[in-house]
Amino acid sequence: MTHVQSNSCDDALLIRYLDGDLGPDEKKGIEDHLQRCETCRRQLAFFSDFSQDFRNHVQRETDRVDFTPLEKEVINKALRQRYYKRGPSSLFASLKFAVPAAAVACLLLFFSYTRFAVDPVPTAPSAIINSFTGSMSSVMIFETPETRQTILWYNEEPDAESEHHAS
Amino acid sequence: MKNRMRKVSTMQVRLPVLLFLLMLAGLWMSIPTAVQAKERCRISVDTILASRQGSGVDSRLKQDVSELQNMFNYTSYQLLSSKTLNLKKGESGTVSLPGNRRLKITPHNIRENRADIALQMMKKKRTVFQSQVQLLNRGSLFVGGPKYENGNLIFKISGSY
Amino acid sequence: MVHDEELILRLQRGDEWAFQLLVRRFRKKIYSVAYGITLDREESQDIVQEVFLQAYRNIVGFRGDASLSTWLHRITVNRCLNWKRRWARRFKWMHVSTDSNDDDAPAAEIESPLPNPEERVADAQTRQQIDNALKMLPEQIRTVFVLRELEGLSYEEIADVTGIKLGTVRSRLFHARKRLKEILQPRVKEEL
Repeated sequence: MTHVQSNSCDDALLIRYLDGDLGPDEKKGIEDHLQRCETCRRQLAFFSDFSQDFRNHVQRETDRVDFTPLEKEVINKALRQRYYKRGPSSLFASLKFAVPAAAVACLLLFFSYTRFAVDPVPTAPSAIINSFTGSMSSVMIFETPETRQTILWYNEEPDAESEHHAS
Repeated sequence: MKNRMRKVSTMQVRLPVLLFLLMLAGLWMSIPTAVQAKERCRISVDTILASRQGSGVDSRLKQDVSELQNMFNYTSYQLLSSKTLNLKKGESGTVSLPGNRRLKITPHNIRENRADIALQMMKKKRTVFQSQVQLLNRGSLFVGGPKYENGNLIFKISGSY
Repeated sequence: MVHDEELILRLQRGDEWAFQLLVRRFRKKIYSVAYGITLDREESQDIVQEVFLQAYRNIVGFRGDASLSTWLHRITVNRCLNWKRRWARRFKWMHVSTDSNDDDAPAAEIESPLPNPEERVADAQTRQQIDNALKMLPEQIRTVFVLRELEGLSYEEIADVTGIKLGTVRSRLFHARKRLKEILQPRVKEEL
């Protein structure tokens, strides 16, 4: 148990005093301190006043509300809830999870298709030949019209093979 | 009652968290390959013997042959070998091919949806050709066609990264 | 007057009249707690509905470990602190107009302190200042403050409703008041 020095200010204890959370000894200590400390008395008054203002504010807000239509709506919904609970409501209740799960599944399918599926109609040649050097009689580069498959065709000439030794 | 109330709020948290994680997984799968680090590629070299003698298409080549049949009038296509290299950027790999040939492959740059690949075809100890190509991811290049036995060789070079 | 125990039994039997009584008995209490936390009229009314519907659904499993009031408080707090609502509130508060002609808009800054006790007047400016000050409290701290100030719950009861430790309740209440003091009494701090 904390013994409060009557000549020290302790906001934490003051707040607990305000909330009635102190034991008898601590409470006595705080009360003794308050008799001597104007700062803490002002602090306490500030906290207390704000609390009162807050309660008044919420009370006014609550008094403004017309609860009659709200009450009617709640009761109707509750009764409907009870009615559907016995029958199709279990299906409707599961839809709450099934619909977002289905949406996520569709998204996953879409993303995985775009990631993994082979593009049926390629928009670019399968290979681009940047350079081609060698000793040969001819070389041709084709691209198939539909799938844009690149084909490189060369003719080796036995007597024109390079003298350069391969590394 | 406290436990029951905690359970309710846990359940309320679990579903949105699960959906969020699934969304992240979906987004990750959609990330273009350029965004993910590309340091390795897989290059396959299929050796095909195309001939005007005989008929018949190797069942493993059915998908590829339709492309070739559009361009050439060979009647028979046979898969002689299929080799795969798993190469790092800058790393060279060599594939042995029929007729004392070797194909040296070096991927240099793997970017966006293409890889820059250096090809060097060698026969015995001599270089037949050198080429720099940009190969589409999951695309292929057909290189042909030195004479071999009763037909011509066609090399299908495919890459995936 | 029907006591809570009997009310619970009737509710568990599906007595519609008992449910009406439940709504009538607790609607203001739930609304004021919801309003204290959310500071939003419409949302508070929605929460009141949701709380009663949830109570209606779950009353069958109510074992009386806590009082009916505490149980309803728990449902209310959980609804208010639901993550979807919190995001929506945050979004809404960030996009509130700062037009001075708009009575409902919070002031961009709080400059003047509350009037001293002798001059306290329940006027629009005071209400606005209270709202603004409370909005600056983190929601979990505001929740504890609301349960203490509006419902007069003890620290132990607050811990029971919110599922947090007693020490955390103390700490949050301390921080609530300290923060409110900083917001509303900057001059007092200088004098000290």
